[in-house]
Amino acid sequence: MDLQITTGEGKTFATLKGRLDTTNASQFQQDMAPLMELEHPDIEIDCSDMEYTSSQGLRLFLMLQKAVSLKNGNMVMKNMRPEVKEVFDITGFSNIIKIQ
Amino acid sequence: MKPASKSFSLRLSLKLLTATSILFLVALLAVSVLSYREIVRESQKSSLNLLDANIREVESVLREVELSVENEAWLVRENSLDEEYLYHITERIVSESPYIVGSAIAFSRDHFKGRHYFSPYSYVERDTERIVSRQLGTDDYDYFSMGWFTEPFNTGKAGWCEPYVDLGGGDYRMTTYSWPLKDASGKVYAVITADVTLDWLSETVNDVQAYEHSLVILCSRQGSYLNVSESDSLAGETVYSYFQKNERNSSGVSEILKSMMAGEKEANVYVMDNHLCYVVYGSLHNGWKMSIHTEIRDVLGHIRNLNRFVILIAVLGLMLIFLVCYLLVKSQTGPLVIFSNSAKRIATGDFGSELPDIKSEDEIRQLRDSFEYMQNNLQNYIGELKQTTAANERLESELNIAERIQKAMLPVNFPQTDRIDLYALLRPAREVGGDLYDFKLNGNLLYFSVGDVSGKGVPASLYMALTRMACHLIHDQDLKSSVQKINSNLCENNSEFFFVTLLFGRLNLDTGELIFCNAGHNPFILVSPDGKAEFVRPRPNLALGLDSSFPYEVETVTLQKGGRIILYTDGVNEAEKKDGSQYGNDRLLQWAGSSSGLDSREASDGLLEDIRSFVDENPQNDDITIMTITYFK
Repeated sequence: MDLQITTGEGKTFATLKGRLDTTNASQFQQDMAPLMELEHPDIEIDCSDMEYTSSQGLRLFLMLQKAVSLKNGNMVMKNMRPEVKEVFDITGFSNIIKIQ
Repeated sequence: MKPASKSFSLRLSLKLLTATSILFLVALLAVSVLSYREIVRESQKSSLNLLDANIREVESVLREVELSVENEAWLVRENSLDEEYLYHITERIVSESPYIVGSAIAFSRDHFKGRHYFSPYSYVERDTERIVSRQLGTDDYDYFSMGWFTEPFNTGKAGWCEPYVDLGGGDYRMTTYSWPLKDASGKVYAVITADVTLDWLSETVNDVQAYEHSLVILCSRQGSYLNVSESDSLAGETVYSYFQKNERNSSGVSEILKSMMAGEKEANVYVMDNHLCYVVYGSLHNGWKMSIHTEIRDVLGHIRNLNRFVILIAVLGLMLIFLVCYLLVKSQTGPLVIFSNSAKRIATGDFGSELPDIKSEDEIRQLRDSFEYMQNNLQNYIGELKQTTAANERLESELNIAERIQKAMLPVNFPQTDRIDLYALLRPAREVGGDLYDFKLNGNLLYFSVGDVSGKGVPASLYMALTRMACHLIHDQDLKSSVQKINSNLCENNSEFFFVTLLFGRLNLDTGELIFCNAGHNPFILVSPDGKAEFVRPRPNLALGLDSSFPYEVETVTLQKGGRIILYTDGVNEAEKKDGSQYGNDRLLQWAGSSSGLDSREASDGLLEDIRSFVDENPQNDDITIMTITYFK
């Protein structure tokens, strides 16, 4: 899983690429640390190239969402592929993470 | 142990010995060649000097002889008819010179008072050494045909004749100097002679002995040997005839002969009887040739002795070098044997083996220090490794225990009655996993659940245990209330954001009514008695453990008699091949439809088998749980 982070107009843009599974979950957790530490998070995550996420990946998105919510920030995941969106829907994560 | 250093020191010493020997041989060869040339050149030079001196000595004698004759010539001319005086003259010539053994005044045919032969002759009698005189010419001794007479008579010139044996005169092998007397018209009327024996010549010449095998040859203008005694086998031979006899054994001789007889003075090299020789030669004033022959082996004799001595010294020296080198290398490589032994002991786990004490500050010392460093590090490393291994073993055994505990948590007394047939299986990807199932038959109510904790391994298994316990214990009349209680249990102290997807349901065996709550879990499959399979997709709820206030909702379906439901975790539909393709919902549904003739156990095992044949060799990457419930009435 490849994570690119850019900033602009007060927003933080993250781009995900590839699969998020057991083998790279802990690496992804380190990679997303800058997002967790944002003081006034307003994060837009582009998921158009995210191919798959395991339950561990969901847990990490949840952790990020909780961190953002604690700081009264905003986080949205965009352009999610249908097969990935289905995982978010089945587990009910669509209810707690904003998906556009 | 076989001492490796022995062969090493031996090999090194032998190599050194070989190299030194080659070096020595080359040096010896070079020195020999150079000194050989120099010595031969010097020897040739001294031979030339010797030749000159010798020639001068012989010449001085010959001149003396010639003078003796020439001095008497005018007396002969004055007293050419005084027979008695002529005898007196020949006697005086013989008596006054120690070299002259005979002298004659030979008149030409019929010249002296009409006598056909007339030649007064004096000679030293061989036995008595008295001087005897007589008339020489007779019919038996026709001197007109003899070389000593004909040559000066015909040419009008004085000279030495070819050697001959004078049978009529002194009976010596001799050579004769002849002086022609001419009348006013220049016609030769008499020849005055002096004889010199070859014995005497050879005595004089052969005194010169430069080397053991060196040879002096004096020969006449025609090449006859002059310095030969009567008994000598060469008497009467010429250098040409001798050479012809020995031509096969020699090389370079004919050129030398040609050059010498042409009167040249040279030094040259030839081979005779397989011996390399050199010769110096030159001419005497009367045309005779003198040559000194020397065999190179004589010249080199003493240098050969010197070489033998040098080689002896060298061999002794090489042996000494070999010995010293061998002992030195052996003493230097001695510690290596100890190192080798130490290494072997280290290999068996003894890190405290003693190292040799090296006092020198060299590579061996470095090796020793490195060795010590390696010993210490290995000791530490092995110590750490032992601890780590012990820890791993402990962890492994604990994991094994955990695995057994987790397995024991899962109920195995599957209800199999005429009303219901339930079977479940769980295959964790590691020793312990996050999947769970549970069931409990309570009267006509069958509670069942299948869940999946996020993540895998030990962390997930802990949360799984908690979830399973909650599912097993909380069976409220109201299913919704049960789920909410379970959820709030899981939400408590969930600092690590674990969550569980769970299908929780209750089947009324009397009515076939199935109430269930899907908390973020995969949809289950409903298979009708006629083999029609479909996913039951409820309204999405949220996975458990995330939000204690989430309003979970339940739904209801009714099972037909002979109908079946299959519950599973995402380890089933997301099972992957090596190329990344997944087992998928379609294949799952297809398989579920085709399984209606099997009992629950066969159906569950069959599905697992189908998954395994799909993923092939690819290792299982997620926990797999399958539960099949077949309802009869």
